[in-house]
Amino acid sequence: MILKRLQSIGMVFLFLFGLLLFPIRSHADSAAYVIDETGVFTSDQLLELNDLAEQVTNDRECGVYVVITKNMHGYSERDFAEGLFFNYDLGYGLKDNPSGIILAIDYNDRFYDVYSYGAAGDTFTTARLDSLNDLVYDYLVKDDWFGACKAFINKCDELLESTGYVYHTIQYTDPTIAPHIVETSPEQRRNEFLLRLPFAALGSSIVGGISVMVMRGRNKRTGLAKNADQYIVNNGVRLTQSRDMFINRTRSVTRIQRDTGGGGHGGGGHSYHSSGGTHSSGGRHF
Amino acid sequence: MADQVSNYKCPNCGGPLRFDPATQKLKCEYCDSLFTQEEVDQFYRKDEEAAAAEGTDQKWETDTGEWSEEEAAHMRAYSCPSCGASLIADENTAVTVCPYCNNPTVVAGQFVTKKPQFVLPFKLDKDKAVEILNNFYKGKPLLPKAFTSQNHIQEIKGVYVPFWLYNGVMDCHMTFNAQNVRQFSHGDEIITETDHYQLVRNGTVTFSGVPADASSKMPDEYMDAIEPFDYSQLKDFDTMYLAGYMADSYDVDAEQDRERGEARMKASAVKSITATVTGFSAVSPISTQITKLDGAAAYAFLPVWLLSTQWNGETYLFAVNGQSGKIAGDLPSDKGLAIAWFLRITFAMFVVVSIVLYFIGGGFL
Repeated sequence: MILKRLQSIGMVFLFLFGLLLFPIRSHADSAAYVIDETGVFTSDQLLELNDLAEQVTNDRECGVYVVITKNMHGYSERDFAEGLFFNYDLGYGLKDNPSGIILAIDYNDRFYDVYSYGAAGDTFTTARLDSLNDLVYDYLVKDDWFGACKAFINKCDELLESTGYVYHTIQYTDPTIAPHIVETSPEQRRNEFLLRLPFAALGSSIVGGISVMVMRGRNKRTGLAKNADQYIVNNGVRLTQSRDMFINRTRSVTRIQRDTGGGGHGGGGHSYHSSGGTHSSGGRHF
Repeated sequence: MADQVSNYKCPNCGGPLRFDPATQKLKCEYCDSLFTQEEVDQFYRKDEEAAAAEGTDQKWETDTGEWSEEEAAHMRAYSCPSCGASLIADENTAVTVCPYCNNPTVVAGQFVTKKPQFVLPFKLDKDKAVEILNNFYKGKPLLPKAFTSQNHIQEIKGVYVPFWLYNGVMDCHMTFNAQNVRQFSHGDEIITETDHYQLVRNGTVTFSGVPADASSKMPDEYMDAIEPFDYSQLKDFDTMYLAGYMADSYDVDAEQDRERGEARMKASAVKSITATVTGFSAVSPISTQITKLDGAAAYAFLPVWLLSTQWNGETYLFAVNGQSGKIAGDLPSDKGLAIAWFLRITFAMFVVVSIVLYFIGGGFL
């Protein structure tokens, strides 16, 4: 009877745990270049755009991305594209020196903007980002989402080729890149949640194990006495000699490290915008 | 000479002695006491003589008596062929089951036991002992239900367990290293000053009535666990206190039990003397010398309610202090219940932690 109950509890536990793990696998196979939080693309369109963006990214060594969201994710219009670029951890190349361009579209607010980061700034200057904004506007006002994204990717490919873009690392003028992460996307939050679940399961099983050990401990009430404190008679401790002898004094000195205001990176070499990113003149509503 | 002298320890504090050329005497490095060679030799000679006289394995004085003919005439002796327990009871108390191993074939034995000096009469009656045992079973999620239902709690028996009660004085000589640390800043510097001390604490700690059960059948960890007993209720032994109860005869003499009692006294003596060291930020003992100055052991019967029960082929013993009601015993744990509880708690924790993580993470649905 107990074993049957144990089996059923165990099965439910494993089933639920398996369900929670399942989305991790499906997400691992999903698109990484075109992210659609709204379902505006059909699966075929999504695959086609993703393949196209992936090809341009690999051919030109510059990440080309499209992200369509339901809302602004708490960002201002100015920070919207930049925020998504970093929240989705986008970019081609080294982790601390990524290069890429993003077309970020807020579906419900009908707002979009483009943003480039890293070496991509060589090609995608503010002027060219504005021209890209112009290009996609014509599609978006007609709700041609697919057309807008495809045109954006193709135009990026064309510009990267025509400007002779080559991926390279960049030394920024600021000592550290300004923090970008303001708010995570729902998908990121889900991924983080799912990543933490195994640790939650481990921690829970440790708590379960300790609890059972405590329960087992409550079943045992025996033990050898280690001392006889309670049998010392009243005033039974008598000191016959108590002497404290000073031996010596040692002294150690530690110098306090003061911040002298030095440090920072020297100039020289290729100089970029302090944040490493390039904005368009401004996003647009359509 | 120098090597020989360097092995001497100060008679006052136990610190090492060195020859001091200025005074031409032996000087203690710690307390600065000065001794002539003769004085030190005399001290050690006296010490050695005392040790030789007492022996390092000092005997405890014990006080046991013999039963009078009249007393013995009204007592009956029993023996358990299963565990070897040797029991006595008054002539009106029938001993049919061994309280230690629950063996129902107790036989008449030879009345050879010594008479105890003291007895601590039962204060709790059987009903109270049964109630305490019943309460002990409650709130134990891993206790198999069958164990409780098959347990014949009513068969609990009042037994006077033989004990040696040790009185003794422990002479402690302890030295410590101690430090006081002071930290302050001066300009661009943090200065840490550490004062080092050598401490000497000599003293005696007096103990009275440290108990050690004198029955080889009684597990020591059970009797230690039901301490303490209130010795203010201790009476000179009289057979009237045995009426309705049985008593176990001692088969571990005071000398055999001595180590247990002494070990406990020494631990407490060290603790008590160490507790006199105050006012330092760090203290560590360097040397500890403990000698028993004198000691005596009294033989006493102490009251214990005992229940021995069989379950799944194993014997489970429970002991209740017949005076305070403190209980000792190991209950069995059901593996199936343990696994079930583990899964329940783990699953519940997992659900709660997952919900918390979901909301802390900002949600995504």
